[in-house]
Order: sequence, then structure tokens, then C-alpha cells
Amino acid sequence: MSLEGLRKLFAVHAAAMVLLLFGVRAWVSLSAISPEQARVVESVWKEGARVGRRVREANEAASPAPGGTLVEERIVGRGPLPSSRFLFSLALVAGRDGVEATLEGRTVYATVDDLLHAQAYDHGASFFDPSLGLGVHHATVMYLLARELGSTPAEVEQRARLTRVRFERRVPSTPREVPLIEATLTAEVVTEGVREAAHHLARAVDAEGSFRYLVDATTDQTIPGYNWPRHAGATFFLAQAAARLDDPFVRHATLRAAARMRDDFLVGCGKERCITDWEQADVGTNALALVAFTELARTGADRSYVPTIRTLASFLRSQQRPDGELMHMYDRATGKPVDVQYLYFTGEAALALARAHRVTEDPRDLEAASRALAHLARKSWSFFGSRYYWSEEHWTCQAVDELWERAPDPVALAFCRDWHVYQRALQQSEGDSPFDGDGSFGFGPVVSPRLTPAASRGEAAGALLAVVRRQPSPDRAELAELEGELGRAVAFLLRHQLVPGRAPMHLLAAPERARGAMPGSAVDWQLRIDYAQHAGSAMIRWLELKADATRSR
Amino acid sequence: MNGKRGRLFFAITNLLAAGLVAWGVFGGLPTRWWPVDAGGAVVTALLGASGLALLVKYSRAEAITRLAGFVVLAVGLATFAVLVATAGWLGGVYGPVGKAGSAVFVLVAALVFPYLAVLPAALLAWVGPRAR
Repeated sequence: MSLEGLRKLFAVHAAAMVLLLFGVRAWVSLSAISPEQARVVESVWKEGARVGRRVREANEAASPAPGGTLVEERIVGRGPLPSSRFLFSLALVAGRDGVEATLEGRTVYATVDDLLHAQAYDHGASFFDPSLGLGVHHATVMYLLARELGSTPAEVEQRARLTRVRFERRVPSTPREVPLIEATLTAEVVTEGVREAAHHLARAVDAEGSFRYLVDATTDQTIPGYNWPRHAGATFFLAQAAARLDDPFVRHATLRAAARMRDDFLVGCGKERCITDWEQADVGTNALALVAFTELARTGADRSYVPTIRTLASFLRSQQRPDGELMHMYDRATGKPVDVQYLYFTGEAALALARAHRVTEDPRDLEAASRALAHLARKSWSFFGSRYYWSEEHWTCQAVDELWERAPDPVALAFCRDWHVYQRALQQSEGDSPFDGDGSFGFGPVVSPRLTPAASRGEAAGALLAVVRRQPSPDRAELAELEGELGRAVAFLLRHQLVPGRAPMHLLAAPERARGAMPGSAVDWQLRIDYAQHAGSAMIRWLELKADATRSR
Repeated sequence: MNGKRGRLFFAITNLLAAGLVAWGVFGGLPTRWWPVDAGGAVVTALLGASGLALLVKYSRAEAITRLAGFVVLAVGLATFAVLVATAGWLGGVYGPVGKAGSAVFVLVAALVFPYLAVLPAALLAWVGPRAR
């Protein structure tokens, strides 16, 4: 091809691309609803099941709903849906869009509440990690529409006319709350959030001290599986909350969960003793158990944990390499540490040893904590581009704070500051995405922001804020940025906590059991114990810093 | 230098590439790090200067374009090499976190290659060796 031909080809291609861009945008955009088209989909929900449905004109009176919760979902926009399963899956905005299906003159809806109840959002496909889902689950939507039409999913897919529908939900029986944003946060609101989260977790502790680890909130079914590091972490938050709230119900649950680890699973690990329920022991469980036990001893809830604190601190020290890194597993059969590294564990160990030192006053604990932190902040994350791609450092930042008075590490402080500069660049603001995501830390505008990243970064922002406030002449701009990062994260968490008035509790099979929990995201209602743990700890950090600021004025 | 069309093509391409690099480094990257910022500034300045010089037919456009080609090619090949090496390092050392990072770095390496390696190589081929 001649140069002239190539030039013409590119010119035509560029023009076609511009047309394609605007054409596709115009085609898929939602169109406004005229008053004649305005419809409201009324549903009545009872014990987590839909027991009634009616589609009415917007200006008609609402139906009575004796014994149930009436929910109105108003149609505010319409748009086309592609026939390709892949594109269909990505064409619905999670938590805001539903589907209208018309077949043989009959029109039915899979509303936002229907799709939430079926947990169809963010289950189309997963990437990197099974918990990171994207897109609506196509087969579930087809099934829901087929059930409404009395048809089959295959017939719906092949013959029905499908339309994307934007809904706005209103629950007439629920009063509207003041919007929870950073500016409207009060100590009372946040304390109530802590209480709700703590009571949710405390209710989940059985008589033996084990948690109900993972629950599908819409069905109240327990999902199999257990994770001891998360058991230990949840116990730590309960210990924090029990002290802060002075709540016997929470304290008793904390003591059961802590005793479960100490009394049932503290076993011989060579010359040391460690917590495990199988042949190998991991540093994460033992570190977070140490954090929890230290909190119990520090707050006076149970000083009988002091000997165990010494025991676990000794075990963690025995796992440390000369360069400060920890060997994250211990093989009881061979009696040797296994030098592998997993996410979080070294940061957890640094924090645990630092906190344990306050109780044990053993200089070896302080020295081990300092060396672990030094390794994290210097050698462990050092490569070209490490300023643009970060690991999870929320435990590291908490260790920086914990050690600052006794063994300050300016390099670690700088490392934590850099991490937060990066995180704040990723923190979403109102309008960045179609979701209620102000304060969240998301992957971009198309993925529903998850709650736990906001919680863990909130904890870390609080830790850094505590250190920066203790500097002789703190940078006011940095203080304001950190206060904003933490406050917006906490507000985001509170907005999504499963409590009446904020969350659509009518969709839950057992709303009283789920009350106070933190879901995975606004549309992922699997409840895992560490979701509430991190969120609750971030809220407690906010309360502590608020109280400090009030005292210092 | 070869022809009016070639001059216009590289003038516009260099200016666009300069803008893209400036936007990518100073607008796209979430934090500041001097080695990357300095490299980005040098590439932006040289490609921008070359583009402008070619556009206005500046008498030393050829020399500026040749310098831009050499420096950007050197920076580009070094960047590409370090990105690829880092991707390998991350994947091998950091487990699951590293594998995700490795994928990101490979993607970034693939994205920068056309602008920092192919473009300056084409620029050098077009401008040719310095007349003796």
C-alpha cells in the first residue's frame, strides 16, 4: 500500500472511531422516562422472601402491606441490553440497574432488590481473587425473569425483549436518615456503629468460642470454612469494643473466643508453644492471638493471659530470621520453621510483638518488633516502581504507631506516608463512579467498591495520624489529608453497615442475626468475621483520635 | 531530512507522544518519584522540542530530532528492560501479590514500548546519520 493509501485509511478509520464512540454512547445511555411511562414496581417482603408484587402507575396510590415491608422501586431510566451474554453481564450497574422483560405482551421485572436478594451482582466473572467479582450473573437474571413469566430461562433469552432499567428504591415505612458523610460523623453515630458491629460478632460466637465465620446474609445460611487468623483478629476487635463500650455481652463473647485459642489449641511447637489446630502453625494466627490477648490484659478484662502473651511472643521471636523477616510457618512434625512468606503476617507479627512488649516489658520483644518493622519498610518492598505498586501495609502502619514512643523508625514512618499518598490517590470521591463510593478505595468506576479495603486503610490512616500528631511541628496539610482519608472511609463503612434505616434489611432472611454486620460490598452480602473486625477497629480508631483532638483543644 | 510529509508526520507524532508521556507520568501516576518524573520530563522535553522544531522548520531541527531519538531510545530501552526485569522479580519473589504486580508491569512495558522504543527508532531511521 502506498503512503497516500495508508494516510487515507487512517483518516477514514479515525473518523469511523469518533462516530463509533459517540454512537455507542448514545445507544447505551439511559433515556429519561416520560410521565406517561413512569412506573413503580411495588414489592412486599416478609422474612427475606418476596410475597407480593404489583406494577403501578407512578401517580397511583401505594398498596397496603399488612405484615410485610412494602418497597417501591421507581423506574427512572431505560436503556438497551446487548444480546451477547458477556456484554449483558457488564451492561447493568450493580445495585442500581434491573431488567425489564417483555414476552408475548406480558412485561415483568427483575428489580434491583430481586437481583440483590439472588446475589446476582458482581458474580458474572471473577478476576485475581474469587472475592473480586464483576458483572451480573446472566443465568440468574434469566431464571428470575423466567419465574416471573412462567417460562423457561432459554425461552426468555431467545424470545423476550430485554431492557435495562434504572431503579430508585423507597421504603415508605423507614424514615430517611441524615446522609452519613465525613462532615456529619459524630461520636454518637460512630459509637453506635462500633456497638452494632461488636454485637453482631458477639452473637456469632458459640458456646465453645468459635465464630460463625462466613454467612450468606440473604438466606442466613452458614458457608463452610474457617480461618484462625481471622478468628484471632475478630477476637481482638471484640476485646477493643468490650473495653470501649464496657459491655458485658461483648466481653463474655470475647473471653469465649480468646479461651478457644488458648485452652483448646495452644500446643507444643518444638521448644516453644504456639496456637494451631493441625501439624503446621502459622505466624498470622499466633500474631493476631497475641494482639487479642494483649488487649485483654491491657484493658484489665483478663490478666490471666499474661503468661500466654510471653509464650506467644517467644514463639514469634523464634520464627524471626537475622534480617528481621519472619518465617511464616512452623512444621511440628520436623520441629523446624518453614521459611515461606504470606501476605500480612510479618506486619501482624511486628504489631503483636510491639504491643506484647507493653505487657511483658521484655526488651527482646521490642527489639524483634523493631527489626520486623525495619525489614518491612526497607528490604521487603524494594524494586523499580515500588512507589506505584504496593502491597497491603495496614498492619505495618499500625506497627509504626505502636512503636513510635519506644523505638521510633523514621524510615518506616516515611514508608507509611508514601503508602498513604498512593492510597489517597485511589480513594474515591462522590461522582467518581455510579456507586455510593465516597471514601472507598476502588478499582475504578465499573467495580463495586468493597468495604474491607476502606476499613483497613482507615485503621492505617488513623495510626499514621496518631504519629503525625505527635510530631513536634506537624504538617497541617498532612493532618487534614489523613483526617479526611479516615473520616471518609469511616462514613463509607457506616453507610453500608447492615442496620435498619440504611441497608435494605427486608431482603434478609434473619435481619436480627445480620444486624450490625459489614457485607463484602454494597451488593455482596456474604458476611465474614474480619469485615466487621476491620470496620469496627477503624471506627474505634476514629473515636480515639476524635477524643484526643477534643482533649488537646 | 526526507520530504515534507515525513517531517509533518514526525512533527505531529512527536508532539502527541510528548503530550502522552507528560499526561501518563504527571497525570496518570498516583505519586511522585524523581527517577520516573525526571525521565518523563526529559522525554517530554526532547520529543516536544523535536516536534516543534520540525513543525516550524527550525534550522537545527535535524540535530534536535537526532538527539531526541537517541536519548528517548536509550531511556525507552532501559525502561522496558527494568519493567520486564521487575515483572519477573515480582512474580518470582512476592507470591500472589507479586503475580498481580507482574501482570501490571508487563502491561505497562507493552504500553510504553511503542512510544519509547518503536517511535525513536523510526525517528532515527527517518532522520538518518549525521552528514560528515
